[in-house]
Amino acid sequence: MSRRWHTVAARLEGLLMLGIGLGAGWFALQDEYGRLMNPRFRWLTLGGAGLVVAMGFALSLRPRRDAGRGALFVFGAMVLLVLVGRPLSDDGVLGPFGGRSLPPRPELPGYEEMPARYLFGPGRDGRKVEVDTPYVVPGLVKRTAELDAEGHFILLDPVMACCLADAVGFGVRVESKPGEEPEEGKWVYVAGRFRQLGEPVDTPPFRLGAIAFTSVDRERVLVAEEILTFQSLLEDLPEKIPADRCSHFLRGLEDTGLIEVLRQKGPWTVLAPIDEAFDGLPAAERAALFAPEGRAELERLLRRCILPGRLAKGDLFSAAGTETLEGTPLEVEVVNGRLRLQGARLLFGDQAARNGILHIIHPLPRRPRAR
Amino acid sequence: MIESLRIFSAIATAIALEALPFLAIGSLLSALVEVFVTPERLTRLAPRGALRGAALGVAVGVVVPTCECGVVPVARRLLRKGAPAPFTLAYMLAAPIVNPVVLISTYVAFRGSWRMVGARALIAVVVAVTVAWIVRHAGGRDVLREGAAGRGHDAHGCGAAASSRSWRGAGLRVLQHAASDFLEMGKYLIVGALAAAAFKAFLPPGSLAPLEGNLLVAVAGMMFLAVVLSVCSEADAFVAASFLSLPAAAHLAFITIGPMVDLKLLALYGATFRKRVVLVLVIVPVVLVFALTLLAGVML
Repeated sequence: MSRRWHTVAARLEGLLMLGIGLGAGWFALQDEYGRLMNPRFRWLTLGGAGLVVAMGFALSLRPRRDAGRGALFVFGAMVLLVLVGRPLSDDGVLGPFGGRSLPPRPELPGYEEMPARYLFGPGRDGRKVEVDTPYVVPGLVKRTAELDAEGHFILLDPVMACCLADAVGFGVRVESKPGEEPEEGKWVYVAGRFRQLGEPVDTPPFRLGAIAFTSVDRERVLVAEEILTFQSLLEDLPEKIPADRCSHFLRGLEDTGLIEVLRQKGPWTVLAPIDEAFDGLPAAERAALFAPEGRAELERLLRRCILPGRLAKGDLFSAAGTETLEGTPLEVEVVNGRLRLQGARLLFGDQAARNGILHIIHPLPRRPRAR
Repeated sequence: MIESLRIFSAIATAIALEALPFLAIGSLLSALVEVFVTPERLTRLAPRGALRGAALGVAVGVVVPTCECGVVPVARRLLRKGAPAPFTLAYMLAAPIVNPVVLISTYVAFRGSWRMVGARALIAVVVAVTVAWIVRHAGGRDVLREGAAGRGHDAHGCGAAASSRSWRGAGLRVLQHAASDFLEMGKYLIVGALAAAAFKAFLPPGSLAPLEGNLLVAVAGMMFLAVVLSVCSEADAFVAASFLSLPAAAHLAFITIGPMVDLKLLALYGATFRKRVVLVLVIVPVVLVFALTLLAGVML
């Protein structure tokens, strides 16, 4: 290796370590961390990333004498693989882990929550799963033609101990009324009672994204009394908008009657500006906006904050041109890797509601530019 | 195919991300040994005999929780400093299994089975002692590969830096050594992670079905699976416990061989040890784990 290349490689190694450490630290702080890693280990990744940054800094100060191509090549290839594989992409290919927080549990008095993993050993607090006892079992729906023919679907409880590499799934067959089978891949709660099968039944092996190994209970079937989709358990959009942070926006929705639109089936994507966004307007302008004579202008502004469809943060990057309820095209910019919608920054995103999705923004979305 | 590639990429990233803190901690421990422990002190402290060395190695493994990704750089550094091979290799093989974190995770995964915890630890100790006995006459540097034994003192020119005796200078040297180890070991770890991810991503569903119903095939198959899946020792018990249709002996084989021989470790062993030592580190655990878990399967 020539002396010049050696010097370059030695310098690059320090930068590479800084990049790896910062990248891992950044990833540990994202919601998507849970897609690859058990979120309980976030602190461990952050600590490790900090250590790698410190090492990278030390290596940048004094590069090592035996720097070579090997480490650069392998670590570089790994970084490339991460970029090509898009593990952060929210398209369900990787499996059911991570991402958004789960919606509230259903309130079903008398029903005990029992994830399918507890069917394969002592349940919570060492209690065994009893036949004919009311349970509510959460899980992911898996359907196949064979199961459909038997009037069954699988409710799968995905478990990740440390990372995606050790992900496994525990499942149970659910017997539902014809026509009530939930969609494949949906999260549901099934309320019902277990029935002992006369003979053990095998389920053909299947994989779910990165979950290569799944075990389905052979002895029991869950007879569904009610199937609750997660979507049905969520609040409507107006209830999801935080009243303490977006009170002006909520007041505007009530004044203009748009709040009733947001109670309809939808789905809608709402970009709710925080109160500081309205407070940033000159006092006279703000007062005029909320006065009866300014209602048309206020309605135009609020309609600019509502889009048809359920657009998650990841979808918004490619949503430029989508028509807002105002009838104007959405302007999307990416500034320093951060999303800007109609000039407004996205502060918190992806709050799921029954009839749509909510994103919190600041400042107010500007008027669309003249074409 | 595209989906499988995405899954492959995500699993490889997850393994690398999971290993990153452990490799960083292992590299840091290794660097602390390099900067603060003199060869003379190490020689004085580490026992020479195979059995005493193995016993101390296992004991150190219990009190210094290190997973298999982080333990190889520490072992390499100890050997470079002149630590006896029986002690170091026993520590390297036993530490990822006998440390309290792994034993507790085994207990939880197997729903309070002390028998499984005890059998796992016992087999790890038997393997560690056997390997220590085989290398009882070898010095630290005898087992290291040519490059891994170190050129001169180190890659950072500690001789020149040794005049700086301040804590700041020592801290910087520790980080530089740790960075060097991280890069050297990390590249092999990534190669292993890629191979393991490829197996997991492209493994057809139902590939475990042929293992059911025959103890011998189940144990051998699960050992093979543990090697190719390269699951971290903190998590492997949960994976093993999920293979409900297989006998307990097959679970035991999976959780015992994985932390001693897997694709990540094969890459790390190959980069660190002489070929003969790598063979010992692979053949002895495979033979002993196979025999002992089969015995357990027949007896229990």
